[in-house]
Amino acid sequence: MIALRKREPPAVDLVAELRDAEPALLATARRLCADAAEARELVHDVIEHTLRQAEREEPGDLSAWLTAAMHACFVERCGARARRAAAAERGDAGPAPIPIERPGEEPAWSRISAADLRAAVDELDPPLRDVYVLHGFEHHSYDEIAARLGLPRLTVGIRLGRARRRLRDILIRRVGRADGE
Amino acid sequence: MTPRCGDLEWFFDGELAGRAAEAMRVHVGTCERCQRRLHGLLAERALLVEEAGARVDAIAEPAPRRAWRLAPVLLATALAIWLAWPR
Repeated sequence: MIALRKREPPAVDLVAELRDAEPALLATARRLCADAAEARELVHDVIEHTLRQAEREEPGDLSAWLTAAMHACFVERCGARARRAAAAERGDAGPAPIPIERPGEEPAWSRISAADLRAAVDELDPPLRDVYVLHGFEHHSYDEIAARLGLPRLTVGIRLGRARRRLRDILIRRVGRADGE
Repeated sequence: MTPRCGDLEWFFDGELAGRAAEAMRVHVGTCERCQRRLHGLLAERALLVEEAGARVDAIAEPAPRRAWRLAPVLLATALAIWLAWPR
């Protein structure tokens, strides 16, 4: 007789931590999704994905788990969109979905702490640092930063992109190669 | 790299609206490079959220220090009451 393995319910701590993380997840989902309803659906998928993962393995760094889950769930949605768009255009099924990488071990960037990021930001050249701080830490839009620093909006976007690439280089130097570009 | 790849950060930062944002979502569904870069942007965002949490904790921290500053005053008051108390 085959004994059915009883699924362990997720630890209460994990459920509480997920509840705490929900507002930040929703804020990130709002950046990615077309509207508030889709953002809520995405957060629901992310939480479900994380709870399923917790049934299979010991919880590691929750922030890294949630980031990976948000990435996987959002890319899956984008893949479905791309297939629908191609099908509507060509009348066929569209390109095959790209398999999403689900790394078995925690990615290198999960070893980076908020303090590492702060220290790396301090190493940026002032023109890049000013834009990054206003955007990343003070949550200003490109337009607001442009007005505050007297720059064109395009320049703000370009400097922010450069700041991110520079930060990535600094952090890779500190902790080794990170996933994601 | 397609011209759309250059818009990923603008999309992630909420700087693309309507049809441009939707076109980017469709593009992310088929572009492995953008999918990898998106993972990096999400990781960066998680760190910024963590950093903001640490800053809030640091602001909330000094409260006990104020209590310690009051300790000598409270001690002197207690001593004065004890000395003035009729025996």
